[in-house]
Amino acid sequence: MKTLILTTVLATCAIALASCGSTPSAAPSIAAGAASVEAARSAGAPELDAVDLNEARSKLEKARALAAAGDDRAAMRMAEQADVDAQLARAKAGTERSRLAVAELETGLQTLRDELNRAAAKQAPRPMP
Amino acid sequence: MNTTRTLIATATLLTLAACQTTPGPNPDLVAARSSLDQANGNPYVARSGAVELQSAQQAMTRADAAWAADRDVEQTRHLAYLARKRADIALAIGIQAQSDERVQQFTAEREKVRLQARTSEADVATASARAAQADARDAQTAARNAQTDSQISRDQADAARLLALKQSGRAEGLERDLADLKAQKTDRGMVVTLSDVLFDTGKSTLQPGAQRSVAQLVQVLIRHPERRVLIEGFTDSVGGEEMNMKLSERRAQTFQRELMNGGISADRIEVRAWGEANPVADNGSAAGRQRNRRVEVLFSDAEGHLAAR
Repeated sequence: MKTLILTTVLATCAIALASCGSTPSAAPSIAAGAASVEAARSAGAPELDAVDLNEARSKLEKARALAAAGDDRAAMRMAEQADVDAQLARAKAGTERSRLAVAELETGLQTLRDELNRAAAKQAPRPMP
Repeated sequence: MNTTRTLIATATLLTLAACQTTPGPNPDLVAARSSLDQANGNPYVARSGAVELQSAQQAMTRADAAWAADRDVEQTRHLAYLARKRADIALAIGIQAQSDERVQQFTAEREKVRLQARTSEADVATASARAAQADARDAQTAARNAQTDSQISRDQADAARLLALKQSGRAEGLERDLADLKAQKTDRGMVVTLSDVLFDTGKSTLQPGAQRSVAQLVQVLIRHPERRVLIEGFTDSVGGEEMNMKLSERRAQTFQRELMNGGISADRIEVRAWGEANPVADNGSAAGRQRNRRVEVLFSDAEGHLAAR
């Protein structure tokens, strides 16, 4: 009786744990993550958003290590996170690039205006005929 | 036994608790929801990051569902992380779209300012050109004024010269004008002698041929209004002295009348009869007597003074 109850409880626990997540192969997720990291790298993320790109690279390494260790479930999670991190790095690289363009234009515009005002001030003393 | 059962129950509960914590807000879900709300609140995300926003929405739904179904903290944390990052991606794309829009605005504005600068430069150039033009106009005006001034002074000089020429030339002019009448320059002045052939013998009426001489004298007197004339009548020695005096007077008066008929006023004409006096030739010969029968027209000086004989 006691053994039966214990077995049942343990089985229930095992089923309960199993129901928390399936454990398919991590390989597709790792491949997707690696592609996203490469895309972010091409988009200039190493210079424009190194933090998120490094996070992605680090997680991708962990995912590979976990997969190698046989923990496909953890490896898959890690690879999925590396994927979104890399996608975020790529998006932020674009944002940063645009922000820099805006700042540059703003400065240029201000310089242009200053020059124009100086030129106008220089010309102002001359009386119009 | 009781202790054993309680232990088992506790273990079961703990195992279940590993999958689902106590009901209430999951902090990972809350963080993910916050990021998603931020992305949702940005109009640029809806416009430009619709796909990414939808992805984030789906990840959020999955995380919520996982939490609701299993209360699996780890799985929920993982799905919440994915949802939060997808929301961040959507937001980043929205912010980029916003920046891109500003880039376009600034580019357009830069072109406007550049155009303005060019226009301003053109204005300055135009103003300079206009100023130069005005300067040129001023210079031209000054030159014209100088020219006018010099023209005026030239004109004045010319007028003065002309006046001097006129005044000095009047004597010359008179001589020239009287040349046709064979006038003679004497110490009394210019004298025109009209022989008696112009008169009928013994009469004081003018022959038709004399009219030309009269007209010429009238013209000279009109041209030289400052001059006056003395008409002197002379005869030869033939006949009585008394009669000759009368004859010479009548002939001189005839001449005076003719000049007055030509429009010369009487106060410019003086008349004097000399009779036989002041002969210019020998009365012994016919030729001499003919020369002595005459009328002399003496011209005054420029001031109208007539020299006495």
